[in-house]
Amino acid sequence: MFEKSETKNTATQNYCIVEPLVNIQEEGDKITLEAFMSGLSKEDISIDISGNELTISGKCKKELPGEYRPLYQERVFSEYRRSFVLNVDIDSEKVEAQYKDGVLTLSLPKAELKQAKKIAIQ
Amino acid sequence: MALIPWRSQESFWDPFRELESIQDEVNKLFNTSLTRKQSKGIGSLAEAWSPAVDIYDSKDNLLVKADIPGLNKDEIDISIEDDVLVLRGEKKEEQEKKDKGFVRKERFYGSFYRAISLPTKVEAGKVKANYKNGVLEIVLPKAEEVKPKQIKVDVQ
Repeated sequence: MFEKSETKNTATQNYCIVEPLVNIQEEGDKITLEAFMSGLSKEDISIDISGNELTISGKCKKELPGEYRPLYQERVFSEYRRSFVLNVDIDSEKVEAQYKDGVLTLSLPKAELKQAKKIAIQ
Repeated sequence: MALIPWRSQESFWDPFRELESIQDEVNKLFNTSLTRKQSKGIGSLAEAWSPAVDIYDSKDNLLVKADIPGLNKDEIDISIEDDVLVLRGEKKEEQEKKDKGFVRKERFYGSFYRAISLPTKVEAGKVKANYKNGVLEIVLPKAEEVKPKQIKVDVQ
């Protein structure tokens, strides 16, 4: 699994996209990807597989009770986004995702290899 | 090849040298601030293991938010010593997962530590913390003596 080089952290004045850190494990017939994106709610996370490209993204809601004003901020991002190029075929129907404690875990089963078609020489 | 006699750098003033050094600085700024540092070596490891923190202020409370994804509640330790809020904890690597076919491993394991010096005195006994979706939220009520007081002046 390779990282797409186009996804760089970009910052405009008030909008900042950050790449989440990931752990990727390949075991037998499946790939497990953990992305560390804290402070999201499940509904705001999207996982997109098109062709051999996997994109995970999540928009952060800035929820702050009205009476608070920021004194100091390091958590300035508005969105997490990161893309990967898959070097194996993934069975996109069987992908499972879970979000717990700020960690998005994806289970990506590899597609079964199609039987090579034998061609007899006449 | 023509030989040019060597002259000390200070001996003549080159206006373009100044410009070039500014250009270098600007390039450096863009190269470092707009791309996340890739995990290389122990330096960035230590840096990344200090969770990012926000501090908010209201009339009665301070609110501290910290991004600490993937921990259990009991792995986080919060303490207040002399108006310094200390967050510490340890992320242990699950044994069954360890070194099993890792293609990429960016997550940091081990202990983290963050000390935040609070801008006002707080009532340490009434501090409340909540951990949800990887974000630790700590509400610290301000001590009575630092809360803004309204003084009514009777105009006669």
